[in-house]
Amino acid sequence: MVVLTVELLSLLVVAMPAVAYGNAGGGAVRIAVEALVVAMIAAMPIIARRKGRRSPTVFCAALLFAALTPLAGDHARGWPARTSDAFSAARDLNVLMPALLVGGVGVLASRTRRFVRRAIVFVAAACMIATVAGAPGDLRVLAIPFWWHVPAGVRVIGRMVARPRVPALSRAIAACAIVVAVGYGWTALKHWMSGVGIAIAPLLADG
Amino acid sequence: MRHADHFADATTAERGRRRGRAAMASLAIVASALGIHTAGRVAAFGSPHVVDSMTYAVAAYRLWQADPAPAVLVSDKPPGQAILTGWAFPAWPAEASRATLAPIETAFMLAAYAIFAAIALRVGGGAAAAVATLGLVIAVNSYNAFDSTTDGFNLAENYVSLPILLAVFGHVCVRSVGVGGVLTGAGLGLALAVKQTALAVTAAILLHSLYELLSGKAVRSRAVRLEWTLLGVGLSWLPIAAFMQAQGLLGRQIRDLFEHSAAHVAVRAPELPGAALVAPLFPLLLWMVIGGAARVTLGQRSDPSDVNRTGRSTVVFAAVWFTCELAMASLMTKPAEHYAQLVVPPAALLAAMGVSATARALASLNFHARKHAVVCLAAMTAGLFVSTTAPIISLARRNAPTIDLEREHARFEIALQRAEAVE
Repeated sequence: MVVLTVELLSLLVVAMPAVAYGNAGGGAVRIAVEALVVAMIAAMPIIARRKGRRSPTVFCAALLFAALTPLAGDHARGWPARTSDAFSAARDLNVLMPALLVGGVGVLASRTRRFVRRAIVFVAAACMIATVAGAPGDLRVLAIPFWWHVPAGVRVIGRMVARPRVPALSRAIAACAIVVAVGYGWTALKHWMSGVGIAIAPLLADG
Repeated sequence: MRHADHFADATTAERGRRRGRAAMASLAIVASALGIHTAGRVAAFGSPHVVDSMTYAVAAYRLWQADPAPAVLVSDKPPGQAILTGWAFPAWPAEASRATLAPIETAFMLAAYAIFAAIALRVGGGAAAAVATLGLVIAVNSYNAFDSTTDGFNLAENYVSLPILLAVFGHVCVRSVGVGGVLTGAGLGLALAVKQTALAVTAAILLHSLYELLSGKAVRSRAVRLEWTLLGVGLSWLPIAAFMQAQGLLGRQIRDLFEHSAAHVAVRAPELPGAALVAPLFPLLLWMVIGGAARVTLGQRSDPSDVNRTGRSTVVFAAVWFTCELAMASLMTKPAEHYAQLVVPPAALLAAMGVSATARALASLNFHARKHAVVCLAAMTAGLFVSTTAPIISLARRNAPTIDLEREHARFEIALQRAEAVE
């Protein structure tokens, strides 16, 4: 239900500018296109669930949130929603940082025989840096390989914090990782909330 | 015997591989630093608001004329920046403009990065130097390019960092009393001749010297070092004073400095800086926090051979320097981000010490705990570096197309005529 609510609110925000200009057809097309993009991104955790990975729902929700936040926040202001210009690249990077950080921990802590998965992540990281530097690309799509390793990263960090007899320094490092990830996530959440607020304000005013 | 030879060959091969990896890593760090620096300079030079950079460029150009007017210099700034940069205008093959100063500014900043890397290498080792230097380059260029009060090109902070770091190098890394003292003094003298805010590092060095005197450590050599330091200050000021006297501006500039400098500082109620102001320091702050936790861990182990003890004086100096720079930045009346540039070197030095302490503390952990800790640290550091670098690259991409060297010359000519007309 939470995931559905987040998705519906964000798609509403996406459609608002077009509807406000009296172009309901344009708004419907925009919703359809963005819903297709989000569905493609969200397929990853669903595939993960079929492979028996634990707690996919949380990651599905987080992935949808990360995919839709730039849409909600900046689309309402008339700014580009995709990673199409210089500043949207920096914005998308900050929104995706929790997944990049935790997924990065997951991939680096994985066993060396999963070389292909590591290679995919490193190539994705290189492409993301190239996108920030100006090459065409969508950071939210390039971040998908990192999302795949987020469960492993959460397990590693969780064990460093929660297990008994863990050295104090390890616990401190893991705590810093959680603080950094939550800090970036909180920024993204504020971004999303302000975008939704801006989009639904005209509805409330008219009502 | 054959087994021993095989073992020796394997060890040599492993050492060779390690050296190769270290060389590749160093190359990657240097290339990254150069790339970030270039993006920062492009972002600053291409700023649509051309304010301080033109004022200082015009002042430097006019100072090096045969007979400069009495009011040629900026009244509340020492003449060091104008002297160190204005010589390029007569030597420049193309038409004079702000672009003339770009190679000089870059040379000063790159030299500052190199001196800092040398300090961090001596204090913390290779990994510490790499992390801290990259963090320094990112933070300096971030504060510079994103200043909200002026354009970041050709600012005094871009030139003053080199003599400040030379002074710190002499104070922290050079054991010889004479050489270290003269280097420290020359660096401080030159820094004060470029910008008065170098009083912060001067105070830090004096306070640290006092701390060492009160600790009873080599009192006589400290006193002799102080004498050499004063000599170094005098040696650095002599050519500047001689040049200004030859141009007939020495007395006026000294009077103007005493009259106008105080307007820029004021004691105010302390307030927490906004997240945007602290964000460029996030990678360095992370290592300061982790390093502090590592030092506590190291301190709990009572090992007489622990090298932790020998670095305590340097840690004290870095902490005092950081505090002095923070205090100086908070005293400035204008809320300009570029004032925070001088807070970055002591923060980076503390971060370098943090990396070194963390590496020592991690060495005592078992393989799996160490691996997971290193992985977390690497992911956080890489993430924060990329996150703080992306805005600089974004701004450079936006400002680069607006750079036009012909328009720069025309703009410079207009600014020159305006400055001459005011008199």
